[in-house]
Amino acid sequence: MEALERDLEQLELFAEGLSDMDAILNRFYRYIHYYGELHINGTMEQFSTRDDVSLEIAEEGIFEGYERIKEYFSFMPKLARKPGIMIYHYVDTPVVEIAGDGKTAKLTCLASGLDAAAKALVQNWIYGKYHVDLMKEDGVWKLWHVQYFRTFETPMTVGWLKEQTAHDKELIHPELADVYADMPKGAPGSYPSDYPWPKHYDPEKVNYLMPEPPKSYDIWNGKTSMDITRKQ
Amino acid sequence: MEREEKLRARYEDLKRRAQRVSDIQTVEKLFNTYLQYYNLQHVEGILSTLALDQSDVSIEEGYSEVYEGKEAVESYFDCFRRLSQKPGILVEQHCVCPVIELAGDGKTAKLVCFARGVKAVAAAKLQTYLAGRYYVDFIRGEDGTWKIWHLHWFLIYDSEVKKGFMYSQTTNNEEWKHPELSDVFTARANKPSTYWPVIFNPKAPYDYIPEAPDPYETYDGITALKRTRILQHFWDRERY
Repeated sequence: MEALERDLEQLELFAEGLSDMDAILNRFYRYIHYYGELHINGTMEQFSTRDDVSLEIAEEGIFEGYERIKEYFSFMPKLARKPGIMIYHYVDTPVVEIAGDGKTAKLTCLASGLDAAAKALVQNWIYGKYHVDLMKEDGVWKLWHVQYFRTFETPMTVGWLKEQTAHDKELIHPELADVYADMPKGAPGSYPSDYPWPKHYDPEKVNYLMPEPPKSYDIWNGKTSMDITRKQ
Repeated sequence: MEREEKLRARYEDLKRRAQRVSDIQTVEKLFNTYLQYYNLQHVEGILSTLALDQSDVSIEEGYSEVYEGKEAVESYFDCFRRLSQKPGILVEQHCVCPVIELAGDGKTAKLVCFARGVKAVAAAKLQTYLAGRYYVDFIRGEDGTWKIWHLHWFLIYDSEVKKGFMYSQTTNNEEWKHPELSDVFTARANKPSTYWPVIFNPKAPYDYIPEAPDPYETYDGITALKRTRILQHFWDRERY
């Protein structure tokens, strides 16, 4: 009977790993859904409240700490009141690595979608990738570090060969000025100063559109979103 | 004692079922890892997902021929080492709606999914969006590690953005021939294509495969071309 109990304990751990996989994906997918609904409270509920929780969207710098992330998302309620707004941003092709100790996880996935700001005559295609760290807190998985890598954002009638950063124009468009006027500035982002590639698709340059999928690991040992293993 | 035996039997059944769930998660993760490395043109990463120790490991993409065996598969993906050094290259394929069947014996698995994405070859002034489906066989190695065994990408269209798929379905042909990329796609397949190319054709009836895999007990060969739909052969396939 003792041997059976030991085996059952092992099986319980194994089953916990299986359910963790679903819980991790659900947590991040909830974030994506609330983000697309411009639902600031729902978006924030997916994050840990640890001091070192962080958000980094493309080249907008790092926002570290729960309140700083909330400050970043303060555009949501203002944007949601504008007519003709649509954010249809979704993810697929996820790769999840749960640490050997079961306390943290890393997720990468592909992101794509559309956005519209009718008054600004904006209708964009959006492509990008996510690298996300998650932490299990009292049995609940929460977002820890979220980093979005932009591939391109381009007007539907233009295409990614011609334009890759259409979102930047939205930020300064007069119709949306009151939405983004008080956007906080992030701390310097994760890209090192000597990063050899463009930070989004560039038709003129050799590209390496990060991040790489996570490798298996036992214990959290720092962010790996900028790790590069491809032989260049 | 009888109670312990019954509990042991329940434990073994539960363990078997948990293992199957784990295997299905692992297989899907492995394929997504392959695609993420594919999008990065990360050759070592791609090769790490493939069952290169299997003599019949194979790759067939679009209407290419078949690259079978370690040497041929490696030579096929070698193109990415050259492609990744060109300016203005974008390769992105997404896995959507995967259907995974794990064999009853737990030794192999099959996956079929939609694949859509975007590409760019700036020097050739090409920006395309593409659609297709993947059929993938997986095999579990002796050490328990899952690897991709047979991979077949069925192209539906690879379309120039400004033209749309009604008027442009095979932009990749232009890429291969473009002088800028003439030194990239140099690998030669070692087996003929298994599949006549059903690219989207505005004039032809709808007849795309692969179908989602059926449950199966033991691996019995590649089923990528299996059709169960009763086709209405009122049209002449040879015409297209």
